[in-house]
Amino acid sequence: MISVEIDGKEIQVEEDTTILNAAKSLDIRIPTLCYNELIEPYAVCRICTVEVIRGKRTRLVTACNYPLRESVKIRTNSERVLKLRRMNLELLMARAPAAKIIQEMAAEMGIERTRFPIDNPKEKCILCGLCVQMCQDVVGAYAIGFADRGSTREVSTPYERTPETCILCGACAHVCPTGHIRMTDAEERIIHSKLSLGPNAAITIPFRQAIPNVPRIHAEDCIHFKTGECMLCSKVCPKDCIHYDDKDEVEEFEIGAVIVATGFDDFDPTPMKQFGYGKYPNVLSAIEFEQMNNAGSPTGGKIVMENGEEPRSVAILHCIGSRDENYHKYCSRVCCMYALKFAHLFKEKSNAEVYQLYIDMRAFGKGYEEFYQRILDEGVNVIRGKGTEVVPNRWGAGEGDLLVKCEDTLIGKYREIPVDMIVLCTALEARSDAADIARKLNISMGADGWFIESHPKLAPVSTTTEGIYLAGVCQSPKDIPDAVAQGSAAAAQGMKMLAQGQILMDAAYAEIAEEFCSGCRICNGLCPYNAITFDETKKVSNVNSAMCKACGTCVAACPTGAIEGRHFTDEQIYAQIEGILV
Amino acid sequence: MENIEVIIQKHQGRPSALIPILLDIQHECRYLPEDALLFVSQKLSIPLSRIYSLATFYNAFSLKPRGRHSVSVCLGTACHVQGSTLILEKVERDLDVKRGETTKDLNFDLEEVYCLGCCGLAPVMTVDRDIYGKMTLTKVHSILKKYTGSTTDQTAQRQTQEVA
Repeated sequence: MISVEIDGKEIQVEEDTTILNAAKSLDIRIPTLCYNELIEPYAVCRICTVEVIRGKRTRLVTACNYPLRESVKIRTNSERVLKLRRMNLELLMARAPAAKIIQEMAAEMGIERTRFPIDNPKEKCILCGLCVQMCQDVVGAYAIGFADRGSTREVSTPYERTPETCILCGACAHVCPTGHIRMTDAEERIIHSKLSLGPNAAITIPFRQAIPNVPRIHAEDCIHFKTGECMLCSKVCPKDCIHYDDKDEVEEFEIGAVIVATGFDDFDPTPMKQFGYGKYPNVLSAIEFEQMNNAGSPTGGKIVMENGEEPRSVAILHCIGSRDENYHKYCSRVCCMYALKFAHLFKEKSNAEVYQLYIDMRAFGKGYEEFYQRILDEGVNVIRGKGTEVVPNRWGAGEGDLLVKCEDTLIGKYREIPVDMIVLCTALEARSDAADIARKLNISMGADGWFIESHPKLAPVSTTTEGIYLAGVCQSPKDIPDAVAQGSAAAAQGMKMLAQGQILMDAAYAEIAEEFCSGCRICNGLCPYNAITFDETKKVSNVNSAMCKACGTCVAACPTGAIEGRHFTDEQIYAQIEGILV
Repeated sequence: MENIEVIIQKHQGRPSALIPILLDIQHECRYLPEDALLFVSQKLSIPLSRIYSLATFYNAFSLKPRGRHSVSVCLGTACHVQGSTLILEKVERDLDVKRGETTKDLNFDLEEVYCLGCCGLAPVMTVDRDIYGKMTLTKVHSILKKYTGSTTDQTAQRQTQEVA
């Protein structure tokens, strides 16, 4: 430990502590530009220069990389230091006039403008090399470096092209003190389709309401998993929570009931070429518009077009992919109401003229019709007729660069409406992997891909398999209140079963008379509920009566007549027939 | 690429011999081709960005093809007083290039320099390693002519000998 005096204050520090760190522990602020605690100091900006007094001799040194090895006095704001700092700032101002942080520092020091000639008024780079060190030493990508020498020196990539070694981590942009390096989206759809703007951080909290609400590392984007370097996140984490060797694990649980709530897929409107989704940047799907509206979106919740301007007029097209012979015949049920909500948002957040193009307005729930009336009162143009085509507005007339064609069935006229932005109310679709789930859980799935409940009126949350219940849109399109209601019902059903500790069985199920069973196993493969197993020791098949649904398939198929449906034996059926004949 | 392989072999493929390797490539090709730098980068396992930094830092390297002969006209104090600016302008006119450029047929580079250390001969012009002192406007054409065409390509011959 050595004792040093900084601006008249004494402090004990470890040997080789830098002046900057010693001053920091005394709460003395030394300005820095090119210093970053994660990177070895390069001491190139010279802003942190201070005066070291050793006996009668004084020296000007850079605080960021001067190691304290003996008892010295340090002055961080003597006239000599300040004079030098001012000169330094003037030179930096001439070098990088557009850098805001330098202007602020200069203003703080009372410098209005530089006396040195300015070469490039737009320059921001001060050649501090933080980005280069970051890229080479920390990231290990070696994508950027210095090029040229002397007055023409610059930070550059080889041949000024995006190098193959660049992993687009954005670390260079992050450490750049003057904002000279920025990340731009390689694909030009900045606002809409690619909502993740700027550096795609490899460690993020997946989404705002994620549970547990902790960051996770995306191995495919993480520098550490590519180059073995970096590990910045573990260096800055004060609680040592970052483990790079954690692996995905498969865990098995014993459970008594399953609630299937697998949700839905959003219909992709790209194949419907007539609406120009993917072709015109201002044609958005409903979910994209919803994301843009979120306060956490890149636009900050503002409604803007791709060029950053507010739309002058918008059209909301209902039934994209729903109630359509070519895609889904069913009504997606939620679109009318969210479309009305969108109209309300447009009216609230912008001055745009809003058009709703609908086939039938289905405002069926509690308070929904009233909401519809309110939207009408807000001055939304509600047109009965489905939008048929979106084309560019070549004539430039009206308030919009796109034209929506439709037939207004209430006035019986064909219309072309000029709008700037279009929101497509896309259908709710069964998940693409619904068939897998159905097979795994042994539940049935309808032609549209929605799971089938065991009775549409009397058992709307149960499935044909005991202990498996349905909740939400995986069963059929429904809105949030309905999904919550069904979820609660499914939970209650599950709880009821678990609380009882036993299953209430139907009296009808199949039974195998062991003495007649030949062990042919034909029934094993036929059972749709996997209720029949083969007993290897006795060489006979067994029916698990809890799983059997009494469908009778095995009864009919059994070549030896060993299987019998309880309450549906041949004798009973014959007796019933005879009873009818009497 | 085979030549470059030979050059790397000559230096036993040591990463520390990067500068000599680049110098040899520069000599061989009269510039550093992009493919060559990529190749060197892969062979020596040195990041391309580092090689690019080096190649742009040293004046001895060029990323664009240089001329067979390099013409330097001195603009140092003594030469300047003796009117070397006029000589330089005459060379620029004759070769149809500006200072710092290379002729279209890749025969000449033209550079301005500041003092060649023989101010007694001012104004001075050099072509490759040949020094032409007490230059006049009338001499320019005939000197440049010596280096035009293949027959008088002495320096090129000398260079080949050196490489061999």
